[in-house]
Amino acid sequence: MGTFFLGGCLADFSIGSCPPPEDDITRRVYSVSLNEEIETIEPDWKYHFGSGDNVKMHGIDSLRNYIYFSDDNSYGIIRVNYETKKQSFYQIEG
Amino acid sequence: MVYQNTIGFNNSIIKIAQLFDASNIWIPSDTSFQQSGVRMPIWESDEKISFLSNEGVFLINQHDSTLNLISNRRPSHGYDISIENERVIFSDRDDSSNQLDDAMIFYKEGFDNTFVFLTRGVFPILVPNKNKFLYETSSELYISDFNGITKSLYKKSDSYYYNSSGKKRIAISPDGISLVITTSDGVYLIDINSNEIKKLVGTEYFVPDNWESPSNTSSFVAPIFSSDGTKIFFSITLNEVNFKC
Repeated sequence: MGTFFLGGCLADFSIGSCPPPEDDITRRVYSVSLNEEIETIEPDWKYHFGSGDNVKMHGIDSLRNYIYFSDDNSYGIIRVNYETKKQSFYQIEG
Repeated sequence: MVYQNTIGFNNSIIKIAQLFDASNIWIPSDTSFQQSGVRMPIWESDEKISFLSNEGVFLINQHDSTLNLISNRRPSHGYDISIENERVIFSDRDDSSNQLDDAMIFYKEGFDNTFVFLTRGVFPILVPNKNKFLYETSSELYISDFNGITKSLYKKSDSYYYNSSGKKRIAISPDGISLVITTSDGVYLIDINSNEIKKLVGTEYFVPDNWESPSNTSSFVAPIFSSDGTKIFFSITLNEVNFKC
């Protein structure tokens, strides 16, 4: 049995391998409807979505259907329109 | 409430406004805007953001930078504001106490500094469209009116907690009828009137076949309702996973 740490992949594990970002369930945002339908919002990895750690939810703009999130070490915020799935990335300065 | 949850980067809410609406960049020109320890800005309406600083709780209009002091006390365990009827509720505790249940919830109507003690508890939330609020103790989640009539909604278990990073665990529906709590094993919907609890999604949906259940180390966090109340957004944290091999 191996152990790894999701997000930072800090452990020196002998079996298995660190999951690629695409397989890291902590680095996505999900939605569930009241009738239990689940959707995944997958960040576009071209935005250099940090180096690990968990998604940090920042807010929702319900009027415009935007949800905002980053990871804990973020250099920016990803904005996703949860109806159209269109994504934008906002760089944090400084 | 149009916007929910917190945004905060680099101790600055100026950048937040830029992020939220690039077409309407808000940069306060008033040099008196020199708050220290700014954190936890929250969109309270289409125009106004509340935030904490070392000086208290403030409300700022993103368009004209009007800054209002909402409370000269800095809540230690959460606060909530209703812009529409100028209600403020927050939890604070004596610096000499480390006990969560020693924290006290205060309330006021009108943006002055006359607060009324309500009860002991933490993380108070004003219930939309109702004259009630949610709050927690170390063991239970309650709903109460402002006359002291209180009902337990949920007894906390090991699967429910506020972790040290303070990730949000509760969201209340826009109509104030139901709430969502996120635990280590799922996302639950609670009917405020009946206390009926429904599990919307659990760990099993997210854990790949070659992983052992990470139920002791995982957590569903940061729930947010969509404005129509039909969807709940959330994320998952995992510290450590044992996988089968």
